[in-house]
Amino acid sequence: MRVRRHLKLRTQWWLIAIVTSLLVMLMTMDRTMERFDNGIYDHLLQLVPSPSSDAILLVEIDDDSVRRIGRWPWNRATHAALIDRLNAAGAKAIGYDVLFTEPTDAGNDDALARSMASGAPVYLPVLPGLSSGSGAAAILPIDLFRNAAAGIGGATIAPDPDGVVRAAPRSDQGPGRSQLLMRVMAQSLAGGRKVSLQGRLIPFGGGAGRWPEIPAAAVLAGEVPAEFVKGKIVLVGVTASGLGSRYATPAGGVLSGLEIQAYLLQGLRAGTMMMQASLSSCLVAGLLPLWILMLGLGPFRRMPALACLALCSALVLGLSICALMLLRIWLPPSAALTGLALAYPIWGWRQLAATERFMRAQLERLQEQPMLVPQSDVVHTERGVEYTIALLNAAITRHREMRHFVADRLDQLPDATIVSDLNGAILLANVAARKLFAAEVGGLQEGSSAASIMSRCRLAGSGEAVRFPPAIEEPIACEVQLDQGRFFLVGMAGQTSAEGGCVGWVIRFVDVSEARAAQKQRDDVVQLLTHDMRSPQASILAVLETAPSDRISPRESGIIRHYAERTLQLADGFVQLARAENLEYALEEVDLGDMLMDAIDDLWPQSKAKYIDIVTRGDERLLVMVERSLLTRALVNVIGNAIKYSMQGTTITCALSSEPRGDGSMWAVCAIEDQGPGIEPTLKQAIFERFHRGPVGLGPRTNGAGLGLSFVHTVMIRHHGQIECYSELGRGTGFMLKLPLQKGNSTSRDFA
Amino acid sequence: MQGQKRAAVRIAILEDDVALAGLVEMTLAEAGHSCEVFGEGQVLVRALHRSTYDLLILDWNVPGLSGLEVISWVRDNLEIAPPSLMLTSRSAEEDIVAGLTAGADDYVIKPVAPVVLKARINALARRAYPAALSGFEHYGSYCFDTRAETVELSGEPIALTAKEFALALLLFRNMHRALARAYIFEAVWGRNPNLPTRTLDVHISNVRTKLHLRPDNGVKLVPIYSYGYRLEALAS
Repeated sequence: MRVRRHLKLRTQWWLIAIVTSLLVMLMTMDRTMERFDNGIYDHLLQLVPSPSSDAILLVEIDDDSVRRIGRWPWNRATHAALIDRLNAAGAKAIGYDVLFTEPTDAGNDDALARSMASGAPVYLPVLPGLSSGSGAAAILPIDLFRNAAAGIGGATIAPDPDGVVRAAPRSDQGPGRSQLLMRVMAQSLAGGRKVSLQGRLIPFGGGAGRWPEIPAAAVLAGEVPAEFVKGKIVLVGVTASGLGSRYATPAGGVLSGLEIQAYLLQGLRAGTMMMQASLSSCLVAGLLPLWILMLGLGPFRRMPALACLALCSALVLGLSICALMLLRIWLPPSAALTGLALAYPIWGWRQLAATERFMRAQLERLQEQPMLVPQSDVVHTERGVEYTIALLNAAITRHREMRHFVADRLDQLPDATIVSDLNGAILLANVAARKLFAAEVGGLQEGSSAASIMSRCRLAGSGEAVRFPPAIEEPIACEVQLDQGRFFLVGMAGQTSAEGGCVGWVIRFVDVSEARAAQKQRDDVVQLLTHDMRSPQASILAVLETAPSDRISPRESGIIRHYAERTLQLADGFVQLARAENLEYALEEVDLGDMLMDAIDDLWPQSKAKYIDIVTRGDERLLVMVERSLLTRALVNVIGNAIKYSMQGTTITCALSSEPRGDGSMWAVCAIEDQGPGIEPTLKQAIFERFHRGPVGLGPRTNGAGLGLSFVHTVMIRHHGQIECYSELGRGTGFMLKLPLQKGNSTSRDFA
Repeated sequence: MQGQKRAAVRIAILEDDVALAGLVEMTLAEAGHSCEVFGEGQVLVRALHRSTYDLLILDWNVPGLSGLEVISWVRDNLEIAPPSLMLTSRSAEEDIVAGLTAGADDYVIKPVAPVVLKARINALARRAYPAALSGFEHYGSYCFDTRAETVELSGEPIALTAKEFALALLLFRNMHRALARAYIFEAVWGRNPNLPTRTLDVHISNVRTKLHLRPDNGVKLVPIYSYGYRLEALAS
C-alpha cells in the first residue's frame, strides 16, 4: 500500500515541468533576477563595438577652467564668449548643458541670447521638476534664452537602483514632461528623419576618455585650433569636481554626465540604442529551454542528462548574446537559467527517489524469500534511506552467505565437482576437484578452463576424447578414464538460471575405479563359474558318454551324471543371477507372447515327460522393453517350477493380458497357473521373504527353486515390473508377472 | 530330412580336454566324418597352413591361441574359410553373441548331446541345397511347394504371405544353422531394406504361429539373442 501513495514518475515529470515553468514566468514578470541580469548585461556590453567618436567634441568646464576663468557660476558674458568662440571655429551644433533658469544682469543675458541665436544651433537643458507628484512641471530656461535656443530638453541622468547608468531616463514621456535634450538635438540634426527612442539602453562602448575633451578655458583663450571644432557637435558641460556629477556605467568605468550624454547622443544618431525585450519574448525565451531540458530528460532522452543541461544553458546564453549583438534587444537570461538549474536537480532527485523506492521494494521481496542459511531480520522501524541501506546490506550479506553456502556444500560433496560457465571457464570448484586436478592445472584458479580438464579424459572403452562443452544442453553421463589411470563417472548437467536459460555447466567426477575393480572381480568370479567350473562337469559327462558300459555300471553312471548336471545347473543359475544383478541391460522391444512361446518350447521335454499340457491364452500383442534372454529365462524358471510341482497329466495355463496401471500407462501381464498342490501360506510368505533377500548365493541353502525365483524377482524388479504369487492349497499356484507395456503398442497381429 | 548319402567331411577339432575331444571325435566318426584333434591353437594354425579342412570345431579357452583368435586368423588368411563351430563352456549370452559376431557360424555350449552336435555339424557341412526337381521339399511333417509357394503341415495346406513363405523356407533349408538377422533380412527382403527391426520379429512370430513351429510338430524355433534365429529339428 505504501507504494500506492507515491506518484508515478510520469506524473512527477509533469509536476516538475509545470511548477518550474510557473516559477520562471513569475521571475520573468517580477524581475526577481534583475541584479544577476544586470551583471550579465554589463559584461556582455563590453562585447558591443564602440561607436565612432569623431563627430562629437566635449568642452568641459573642468577644474582647470574654473581655476583660470573664475569661480562658478560664471558670468553669462563668459558663456556668450565661449559660444562665440565655438561658432567662430565652425561648430555644427552646441549642446550647452548649463542651466539658465533665472535671469541675471540684463546686458550679459542679452549678449548670451545673441550668441545663442547667431551661428550654430544651441540646445539648452531644463531643470527636471521635483519628484513629488505629476503636477510638478519642469523648470524651463528663461524665455529670452528659450527663444534664442534651437531646442530645450531634459538632460538628467537616471541611474538604475544599483547606481549604474544603463538607460536613458523616461522623463520625456507622459504629459507635462519635457523631451530628452539629446533626442531633441539628434532629431533636429537628423534633418527631419524621425529619431526613435524605442531602445533606451545606451550603447556604452569605450568607457571614460572615449570622446575628445577640451577644457572650456582653452576654448576661451583661443588655444584650440578651429579645425578641431569645425563641423562637430559640441557638448558643453560642467565636470569640475564638486560641480559636475560622475556616474558608474556598465562599460566599466566612471563617466562624467557629459560623457554619458555624448554616448546617448551618438546612440540616438547612429540608431544603435538597445531595447529591453518585451515581456512575451522574455517568457518565450525563458520557457523554451526549460521545456527542451525537461523533454530531453524525460520522454526524449537522447543524451546524458548533464550534456542536456549544458546544451540548454548554452542555448539560453547564446540566445541572449545573439539578440543583443544582432537585434540590439536585451533578453535577460537569469530566469531561464534559474529554471534550468531548478528543474535538473529536482528531476534527478525524483528519479533517484523512484530508483530507491524500486530498489527497496525489490530488496524487501528478496528479504521475504525463504533463506537457506539463517539470517538476521532487518528491523522495519528505520525509515528512509537507512532502511534501504539496511536492506541492501542484508542482501549483500545474503549473497555472500549464499555463495559461502554453495561453496561449502560443494566442498562437502565427496565427488570432485566443478561449476563452469558456458564457455568452460571455471567459476567454482570444490576441495575434491582442487585435489584431483591440482597437479596439472596448478590449483584450480578461477579462469582456468573445464575444457583443459576434459581434454585429459578419455571415454572408457572407446578411448575417444570427451567433447566440451557438450553439444546438447541435456544431462550427460559417461564413464571416462583420467590420464590412463583412475575411472570416473562424469556427469555434465546444464546449469539453468532462474529464468530457465542455460548459463553454464555443473560437472561431477564420481570415482568409480573401485566399483570398476569390484565389477572386474565379479566378472572374474562369473568367468570362473561359467567356464572353469562348468568345463570339468562337461568333461565328466563326456567321460560317462564314452566309457564302455562294461567298465561302469549304468546305475552309477546315472548317479554321477545326475550330480554333474546338478552342479552345472547350480553354476548356470548363479551365473544367470549374477548377470541379472550386474549386467547393463541391452533393452529391446519384444513381444511378451514370443518370449512365452520360447520358454514353453524350451521346457517341452520336461512337460512332455510329465504329460503336462501347457495352454496359452490371449493373443494380444504385448510389446515390452526387456533384455530378452533374461526375461525368457525368468519365464522358463516360473513355468519350470510349475512343471516341477505339478502332477502328471495336469494343465498349466499361461494367460497374457494388459491392464491399466492407474497412472495412464498399462501393464503387460503374464499369469502362469498350475494345478499343483499349492503352497502352504507360511511357505508362501517364505518365498516372498527370499525374494527380498540379497544375493542368494549368501542365503541359506535350499533346492534350486530359491535360486530360480530370486532370479525371476531380480529380473522383474530390474525391468520395473512386479511379481505376485497366489496359491490355494490343493487347487494350484499362480504367478503373475507384470511389465510396463510399451506406448503405441499395436494390438494387431496382422502386421506387415 | 534329405535322405541322400553325404560325402565324408574332414573336420579339425581344437580341444584341450581329452575326454571331451574323445566324445566329439567318437560322435562325428559315427556320422562318417574324419576328425583330427589339436590341443593348442598354434598347432591348428600350422596345420591349416599345409592342409585343408572342411569344418572347424573350436573350443574358446585353449592354451596358446584361443578359438576366437583362430577364427580371426582363418578369416584373415585363408582364401576359402571353412565354416566354424564354437564348442565351449562359456554359456553367457554375451559370449555367444561375441563368438557369432567374430565369425563363428554356430555356437554350442558344453555339455552337448551327441545328437545335437551331429545335427549342427551336418547343417554346417551342407554347403549347397540340391534343388528338388519336383519343386517339393519335405522337412518332417512339413512339405513346401516352391513353385506354387504353398506349404502343408501333415497334409493340411497353410496360407502364408509371400514373405512369410520365403522366411519359412529359409529357416527350414537352414535347419540347425544359426541365421544372423542381417542375413535373413537380405535373403527375404533384399539388400538395404529400409524396414524397422521389429519387422523381422513380427514375421518370425507370424510364421511360428501359422506353421505351429512347436516341439509338438518336431521343430523348435530358437532365438539367438541380439544375433538371429535358428530352427532346430527335435530328435524323435
